[in-house]
Amino acid sequence: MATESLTRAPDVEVLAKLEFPIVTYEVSREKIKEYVAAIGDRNPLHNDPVAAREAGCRDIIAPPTFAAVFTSMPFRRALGDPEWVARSTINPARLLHGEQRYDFAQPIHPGDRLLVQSIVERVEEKKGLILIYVASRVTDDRGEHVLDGAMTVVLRP
Amino acid sequence: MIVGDRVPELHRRIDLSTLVRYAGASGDFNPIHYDGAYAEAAGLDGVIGHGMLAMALVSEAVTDWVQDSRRVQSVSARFTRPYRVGDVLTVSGAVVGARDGAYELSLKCVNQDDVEIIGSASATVLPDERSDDG
Repeated sequence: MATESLTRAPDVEVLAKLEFPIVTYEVSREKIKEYVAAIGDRNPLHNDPVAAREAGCRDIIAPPTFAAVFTSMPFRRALGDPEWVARSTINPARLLHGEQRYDFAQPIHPGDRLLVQSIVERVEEKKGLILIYVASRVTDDRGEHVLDGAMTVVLRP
Repeated sequence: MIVGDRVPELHRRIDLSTLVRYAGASGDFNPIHYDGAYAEAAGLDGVIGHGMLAMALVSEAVTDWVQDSRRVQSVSARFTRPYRVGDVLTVSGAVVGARDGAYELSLKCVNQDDVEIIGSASATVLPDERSDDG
């Protein structure tokens, strides 16, 4: 039914009530390595366990924007569900990333088990565009706050 | 670190392989970032790069400079214009203030024609306990 949503106009009231699946994410050393290599980051704390320990970390730490790997998952999983997309009034091909912010409470290490919860904070219409503000809160398996994400998604006409 | 300090510039050329690697590493497989026909059908003028990769480069310019990325308290970016395969991105920035015990950095990311890809970015960075006064 995904094709049906392509002909249905975005509905601000529906968008404001969208819900996303809660995601659990276990950080792996290999995923950090892959991310660091892809962005060309040579910081010793992100690459070398020995250097990281010398600096007082218990292991390598992920670069700050590694947060994108898991904070995007609730929205992305939703977009991978044709029924969710059909209900959402979103045409995924019209989505763009407008703004992103992260506020960090603690560094991320290999083996961390994270819980990612996202909500729609508000929806605005501006100059023919629809802006969807999505807030994500990330906690670890002891319930400690790890970081907050704030994403603005732009829905083009 | 003092107000007025400039963040050393970071330069990076973007190839299609850069975007494909970032897609794999980030999990963002939106075809607008690697499939030209799909991007055009979506009303774009060809493949565009991931905003989050440009933001990663902004953050990297900061962490390359301060080295200890635990000092970075927040990072934000506004994606102004798309960038494309073959573009060379440059990140620049400066320390613009100090508030609540942290430095405020203002940054941007432009392409080789000085077009703003991320017109407005910011980061807050804690002082280096070993050498900064705070």
